[in-house]
Amino acid sequence: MRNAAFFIVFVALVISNVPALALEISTNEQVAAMVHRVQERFKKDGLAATIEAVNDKTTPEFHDRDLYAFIYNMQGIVLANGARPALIGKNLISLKDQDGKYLIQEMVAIAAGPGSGWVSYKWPSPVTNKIEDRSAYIEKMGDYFVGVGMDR
Amino acid sequence: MPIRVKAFAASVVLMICLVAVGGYAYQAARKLAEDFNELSKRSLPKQETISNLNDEVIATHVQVFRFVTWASNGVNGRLLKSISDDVLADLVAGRARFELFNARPDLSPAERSTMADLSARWEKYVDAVKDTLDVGHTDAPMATMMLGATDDDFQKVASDLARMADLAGMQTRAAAQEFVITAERNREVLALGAIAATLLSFFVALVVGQSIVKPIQSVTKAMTEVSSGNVDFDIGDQTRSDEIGQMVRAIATYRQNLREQTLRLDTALNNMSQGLGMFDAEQRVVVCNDRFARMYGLSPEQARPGTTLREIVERRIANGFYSGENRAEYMNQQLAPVVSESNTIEELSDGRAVLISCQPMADGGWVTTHEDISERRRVEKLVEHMASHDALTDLANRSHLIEGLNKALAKLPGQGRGLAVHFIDLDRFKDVNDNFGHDGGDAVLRTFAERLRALTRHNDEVARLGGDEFVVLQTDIDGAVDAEDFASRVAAALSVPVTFNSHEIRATVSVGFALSSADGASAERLLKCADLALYRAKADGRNCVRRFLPEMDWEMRARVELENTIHNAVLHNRFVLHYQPIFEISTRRLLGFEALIRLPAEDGTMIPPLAFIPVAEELHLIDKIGAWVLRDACRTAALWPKHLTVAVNVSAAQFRAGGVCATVAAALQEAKLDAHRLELEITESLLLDDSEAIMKELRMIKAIGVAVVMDDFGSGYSSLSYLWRFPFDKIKIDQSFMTGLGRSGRDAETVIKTIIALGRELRVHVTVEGVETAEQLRFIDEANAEQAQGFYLGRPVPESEIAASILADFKRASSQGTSTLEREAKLRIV
Repeated sequence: MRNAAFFIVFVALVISNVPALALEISTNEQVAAMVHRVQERFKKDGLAATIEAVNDKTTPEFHDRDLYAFIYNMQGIVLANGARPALIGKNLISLKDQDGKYLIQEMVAIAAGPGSGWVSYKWPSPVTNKIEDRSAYIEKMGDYFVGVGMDR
Repeated sequence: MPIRVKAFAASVVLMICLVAVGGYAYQAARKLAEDFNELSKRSLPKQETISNLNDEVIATHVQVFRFVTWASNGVNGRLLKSISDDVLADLVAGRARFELFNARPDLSPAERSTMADLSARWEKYVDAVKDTLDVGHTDAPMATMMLGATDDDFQKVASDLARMADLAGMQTRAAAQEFVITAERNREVLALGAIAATLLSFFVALVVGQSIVKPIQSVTKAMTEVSSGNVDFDIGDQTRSDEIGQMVRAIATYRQNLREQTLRLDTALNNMSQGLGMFDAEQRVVVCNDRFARMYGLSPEQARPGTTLREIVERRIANGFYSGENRAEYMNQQLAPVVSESNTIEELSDGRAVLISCQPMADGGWVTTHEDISERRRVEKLVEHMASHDALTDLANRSHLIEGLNKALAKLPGQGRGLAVHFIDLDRFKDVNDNFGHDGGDAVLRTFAERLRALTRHNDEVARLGGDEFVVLQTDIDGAVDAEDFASRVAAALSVPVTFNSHEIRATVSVGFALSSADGASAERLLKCADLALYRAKADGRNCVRRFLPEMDWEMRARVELENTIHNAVLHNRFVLHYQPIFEISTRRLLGFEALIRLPAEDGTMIPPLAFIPVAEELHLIDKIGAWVLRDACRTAALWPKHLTVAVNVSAAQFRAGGVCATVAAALQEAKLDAHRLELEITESLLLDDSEAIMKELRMIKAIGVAVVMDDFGSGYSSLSYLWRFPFDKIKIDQSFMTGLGRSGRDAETVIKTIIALGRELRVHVTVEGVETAEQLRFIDEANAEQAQGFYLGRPVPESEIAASILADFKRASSQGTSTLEREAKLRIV
């Protein structure tokens, strides 16, 4: 309990320090399109090239305002993240957002199950660098899954 | 099983209980100490370590948060690096701590498993923290995002730690609980053990009690029964082998003895000749035998133990068995407490006499015995009567007479009148017995007794002193006339013939009487006086009555004195012999001596034989005296010249005593005297009895050579006939003839001459006695008498003077031829 209380206080502190951002509204279709581009690249160039492309912030097809792609394997290890390179190689299977949602596990579940779907969660926006409400579209890609998130 | 063994077994059981409970308590205390040790040395420190681990982990986690906060707030990289280094160091230290903890040997499997999880999760947490730190250096918001998962991992670690703490706490609790449970269980076990031990003890006590107390109670009951005298009760099991069995058997034996004793006591009580009653202090019957009940007409039920004395006395009175006139007084007398030993005789109203003895007892009661002494009294009276009365005539005897006489004499001074004692003796009672037998004699005595009783009055007493002697105590008389009259009536009444077996027995009596007024005041004296009077009556020819006169008394005293003198003389050989010479008349020569006995009196004078010989005969001393005379005469004669003889007088009494010949022979033998020198002089009275035994004795005496001389010839009644019945050697003419010579005409002269002639014809020597004068000597000389003896010729002299006579005789012999006168003169000298 002591730990929980400590955590809530801490989160409040973090939020209060985030400066306000002007949001550009992306659409679901834009998100899906970016996913499909990653799929295509994967199909075309293979995993390594796809990862490189996704991670490369200079690649516009995979970076658009608040949109960027990410690739995880089914174990939850980050293979590629267009916004946050620090995460690459990290296993985030047990990551949960401020609402306590295990977002990565939901993503894995969609990839393993329907193969594609939407997941809503809180996550630092690449625009504001603050944790915002975001949604991501996920699709299975080979033994991996690919997703693209957007602020909401 | 002996009680000793039971008690031992019981105590062993109890001891085992104690040891068991005590041992368990000891073990429990030790276990508790161990548990406590466990708790304090292991569980608690472990818990503390876990708590410390938790604190340190939390501190690390806080550092992680601090890192992310600082990162989010844009703290510079150098500071962030410093915190992340601290965190990484903490993580490494944390791993080391877990490993250290994990190496503890005292971990339970659950703890080990939890620690394994914890280590794994720690590693996961470490990875998560590293990732977070790693991301945090460059991407603070993402680090913040990752913080949630890191915290999840931390929560897992924390939960494992909590679980560890729980496990350790659980262990502690378990240990503590176990401690408590053990303590509780010990408490319960001890309590149960104590209860079980108590119950067991109780049970053992109950069992032992059942097997000891109950029998002891029954033994006690038996003993109570026995002690209360009851012998018929259930004594219990005699076959037990323990001490109680012994007690029961002892009681059984005791009861058997008691039964026997009771039986004996009952038998003894009911076979007693006396009635016995034992009463307690409340005057109730304790024991009463059948005889007691029967004596007073009580049923056994009416005299059973518990009956009061009052009830018994009431019934006795109702049955008529009490004494005295006043019933109430008798009752009071009987109910008076018995305080001292007493013996009383009750004359019961039914005529019985009962001797009642009472003996008080210490407890206030008393024992009394009742003896019916009626029969005893009757027998006593009979015995008393027999002792005081003559069986033949039922008259009083001497002792009873004297008693009566004493009583009568004792009354005299008050009554003033006199009494008389009559001594009555049958004359010649021996003849009656000889002629009619003893039955005849007894018939006479009985008849006389009846007649005497008829003659006497109520207060008079008639007694028979034995033989034919009767005494009558005549009371209440005025004087001698009354006594004389009575004596005459007695004599007359007894002279009436007695009819016996169709015979008429005639007997007369002599009576002597004495008067209390004149002759004496004591019974002895009166009887003696009457006896003396009777003696006089007998002496006066019998069949007469004589009153006592004082001179009889003198005679009697003289006689008593003489008797004493004779007795003493026999005892001390006081008799002396005097010798009177006997001469041959024709030659005037000495022929021998006649030994004449003399008794020296107290005053020195000599008592003549005529005075004491009859008395000595009555005293039955004559044979002893006679034997002495024979011995002494023979001894003396043996010293004389051999031609001299000695003559010794032998009385009829000596012959009746017998053994005269043997005595004579012994005397001759002793004195070494020739038999022919001894002459025995007997009187004709000896021949009166006409006894063949005496004749035989005389013939034997004559046969051994001793001469037998007829003494005092002519003084009796039929002397002549005796001369033919025995061949006497010599006849001595009685001196009365010499005394009568010249006084009564010529009768004596004729008799003397005839006897001298007779002797000559019979060729028997004849001695004339009593020659006292010269004329008498001349007369017998002329009558041609052969021998003479007398004072004129020579007096009796003591032995010592005999020698002179003998000497004179020798001188005379040598001068034969001198004149008669001279001879006479010389003879007188002797």
